[in-house]
Amino acid sequence: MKEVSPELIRFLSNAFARELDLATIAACYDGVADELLHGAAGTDQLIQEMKTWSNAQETQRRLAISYGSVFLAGGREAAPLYASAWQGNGTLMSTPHYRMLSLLKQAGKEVANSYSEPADHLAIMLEYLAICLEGHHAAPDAAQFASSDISPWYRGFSKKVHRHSESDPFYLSLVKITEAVVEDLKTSIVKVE
Amino acid sequence: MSTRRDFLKGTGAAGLSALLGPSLLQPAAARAEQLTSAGVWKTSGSHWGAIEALVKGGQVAEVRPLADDPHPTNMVNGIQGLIYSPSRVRYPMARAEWLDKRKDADRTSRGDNRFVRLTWDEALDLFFEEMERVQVSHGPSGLYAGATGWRQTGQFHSCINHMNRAVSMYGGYVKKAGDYSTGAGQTILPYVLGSTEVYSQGTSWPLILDNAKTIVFWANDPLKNLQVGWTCETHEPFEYFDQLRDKIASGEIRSISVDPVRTKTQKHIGAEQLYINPMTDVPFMLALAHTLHTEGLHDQEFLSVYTLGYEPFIAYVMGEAEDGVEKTPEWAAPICGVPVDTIKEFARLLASDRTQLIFGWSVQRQQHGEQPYWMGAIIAAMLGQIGLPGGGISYSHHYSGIGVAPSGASMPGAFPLNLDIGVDPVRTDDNFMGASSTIPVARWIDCLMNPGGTVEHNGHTVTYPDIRMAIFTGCNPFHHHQDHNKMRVAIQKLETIVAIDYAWTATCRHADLVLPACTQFERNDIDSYGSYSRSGVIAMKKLVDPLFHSKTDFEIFSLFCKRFDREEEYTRGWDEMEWVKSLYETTRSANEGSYEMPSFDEFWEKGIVRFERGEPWVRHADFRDDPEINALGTPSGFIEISSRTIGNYGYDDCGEHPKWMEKIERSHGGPGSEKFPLWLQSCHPDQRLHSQMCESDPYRATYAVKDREPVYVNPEDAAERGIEDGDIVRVFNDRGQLLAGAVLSEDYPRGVIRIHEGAWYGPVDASPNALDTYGDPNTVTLDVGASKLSQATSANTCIVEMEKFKGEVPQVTAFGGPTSI
Repeated sequence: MKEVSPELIRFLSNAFARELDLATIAACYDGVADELLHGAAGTDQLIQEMKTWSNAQETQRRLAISYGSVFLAGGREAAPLYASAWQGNGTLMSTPHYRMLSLLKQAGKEVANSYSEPADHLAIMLEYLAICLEGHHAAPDAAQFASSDISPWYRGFSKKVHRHSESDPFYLSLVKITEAVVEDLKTSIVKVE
Repeated sequence: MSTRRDFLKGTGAAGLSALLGPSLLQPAAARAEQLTSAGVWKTSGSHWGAIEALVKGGQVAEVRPLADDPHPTNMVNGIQGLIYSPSRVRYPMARAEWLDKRKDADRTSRGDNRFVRLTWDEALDLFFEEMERVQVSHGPSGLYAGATGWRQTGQFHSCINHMNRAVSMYGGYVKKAGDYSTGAGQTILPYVLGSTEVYSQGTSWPLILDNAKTIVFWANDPLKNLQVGWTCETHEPFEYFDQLRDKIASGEIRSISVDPVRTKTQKHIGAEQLYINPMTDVPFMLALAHTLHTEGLHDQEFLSVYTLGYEPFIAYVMGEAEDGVEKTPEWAAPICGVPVDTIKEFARLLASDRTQLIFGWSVQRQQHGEQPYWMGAIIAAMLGQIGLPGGGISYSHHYSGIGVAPSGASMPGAFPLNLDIGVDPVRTDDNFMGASSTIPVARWIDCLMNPGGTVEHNGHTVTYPDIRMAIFTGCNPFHHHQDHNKMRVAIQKLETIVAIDYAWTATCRHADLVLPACTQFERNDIDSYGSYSRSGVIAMKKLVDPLFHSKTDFEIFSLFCKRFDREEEYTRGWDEMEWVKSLYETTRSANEGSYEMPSFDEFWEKGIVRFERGEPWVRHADFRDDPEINALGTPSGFIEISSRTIGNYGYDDCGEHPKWMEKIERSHGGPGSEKFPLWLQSCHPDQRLHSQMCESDPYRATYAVKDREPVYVNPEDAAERGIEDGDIVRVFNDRGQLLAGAVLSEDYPRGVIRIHEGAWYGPVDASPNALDTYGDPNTVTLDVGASKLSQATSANTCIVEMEKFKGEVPQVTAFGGPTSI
């Protein structure tokens, strides 16, 4: 298994955090992301996809519609980015949210005031994962976190995104890459055991 | 082929930092400590009663009824699920297609869930731009901001008032008349008894229980409906139903439920049931009148002193009118399904001693819904007991604690609905271009489909305005309006729909601009404790800050008014707590010397002020004491058994006295019943307040059947269709189709099924005749005015067929979140 790069995880976190701004789109188009993505499972498709973009503003608009329709709007067809939505009875800000608050606190962190989202938002979980991988905590912690806190609900989330008619290939790729990263980390636990 | 330069034009240079973005985390501050604290209990109020909530770590960890409430409803258990529902509207959103092309956007795709997130500034700018565009281009007749519903509780944050005041700050708009609950009743009863009656205080329960020998619940299930109240509910009437149960058991009182269905109330108190075919109350009542009259059981003296117009009515009953049909029990029995002898015995029972008639609202939510209410008043007048304790008629004892002797104290007022004196709107244009400025609320879909068309309404001719834009706040017309497939076509006429709500209702999904309001549990407010009992004043403390990007209605409309420089006039320069305090202090002043109230700070700390119950009271007693001095509000001042005023309107569907008129469609041998043999009853739900709390996933799981709204059905009707308990069934007619979960119950007679209104609408897709996946009965109900008099809803005039659903069952689309329950 190729070692998972914290920067890749931070990129994924940023991409799931909110709609992409023009600077991020420009960086993606300009190939800045290619190196980050290089070698990680499923990234070729994403790199190819970004090469097809023909206009930054138009791309931003298309991706915003996809992000809004798939992750933010109401309805069972939507795929909310919160772990709570996929576990227990689906009530938001439930056990996974509390657990993330606790993990963040242990890491001396909390959700930024500028980011008004529950702590079990996928983007926050991915940033926490990156922190683990960056050595603030031991790497096994990252693997354990991916295995116990992301993996149990992620497949259902991924399926829903793939089924949604408004899912843009960009987000489909992101979802696949994240799934591959989580599975890789899970596998590393099994190998250690 | 685009070049790199083309692509990057206007984007600015970007590098790795852009890809990684800003951190979503920050160093932990002191507030993280709250996680381990024990939390604090806070008092608040709701339609479901007063509550205490444990707030821990900035979240609502537990909700329980306030100890003051001796009969709390189970629905309190749904509050947490409502606050943290995945159906919450979390951000301002715009429909993608509309955002691109605005008034020229394709409207057939409304409901396809393609939305883009906006900032609040963007969203409010768009909201104002659209309102301004419509007002400038089309005048006030282009804007509909009148629709209202059961907003969340709280006098200050009442969203109805906020919308009306804010929009009025800019200019005029089309308003509505009436409501979906009592449209026919509130229109006919002022002609007959001088007031709406449906929203009037009724005789106090202790007097009913002490004096009545017979209590008739007519199409009424108070124990179901009293769980919720217009303001914070106290549930005080429940003690009287326990007392009634004991009196029935001891033989002191006899109680009969006139209803096709065995009700919750009937079963709780041990009442008898008098079965009647759906929608045939009027023939049954005409036959009662016939028996009372022919057997001399009517109170001629009461009729002479207190009423007007008995003669034309009784001539109709006796077959001396134009139709020549005598309304005998023998005539009525085959229509209403009640045996001849039972009709006669029931009439004799009513006249034998003190009888209290208590009507529900379902029976007037049908075509010709005015007639059974008018007939009820006539039967009561013939019995001669109106104005006596334990006698006469009520149309409201199932509503908001009516029947509890009111304290008499003044209750908190609300945030003002209208402009303050001296404040003018930005646009003073009041030219409705020949159209009416007010439309009957249940006709707004017809209005959209027929701009410039006319309709008769309560003695006037309404000309439908050409509406281009609608604003809905705290209001879900996709819950309360009938025939959703017709609705979906009609709303395509609107250029812009703005919806302000805390949850993704079907109305939000069909809107162009959706603004996230917070729930009542995320703001400070004040409310009456007991709408009619006036039992106290309750502090509605903010439990948690507005979740996600939601805002209070006050903040939303303050920012909206800022767009046209009316923020100061709108808010009076006060913030939330200044308003709450002001409403309290005004109440305190009004009660000074009569009802003691502590300082605001003490009240806020304690959470509630309680008042003693007042003296028991008898409805219409003053009229009975002196009908000249205490004349009713009818044209004559008397009870009008016949109404010349209505007769002079010349309507063919509501004449000068009540009559039996066949319905467009009716089960049990009525028109259309060969094809659609089942009557669909869509009464108020037992497990939510209209559509509020349907989105509370854990609570909905306690009653849903395979994730669908229950449809209650007689076991034999089910067996005939191969349906078993727990099956998913398709309920359908020529108007639409829905899925629901079968619950077999002997409480429902042959030919009658029930789906509670308020079930969220979730069509499989945006196509016009799409299958509703959850079970909203208004997918199949009839959208016609009850009559030319009221133009009210006719939801309970609805026949259907049902079958076991075969094939792949579609996912429920009505709610947010992915979890299957």
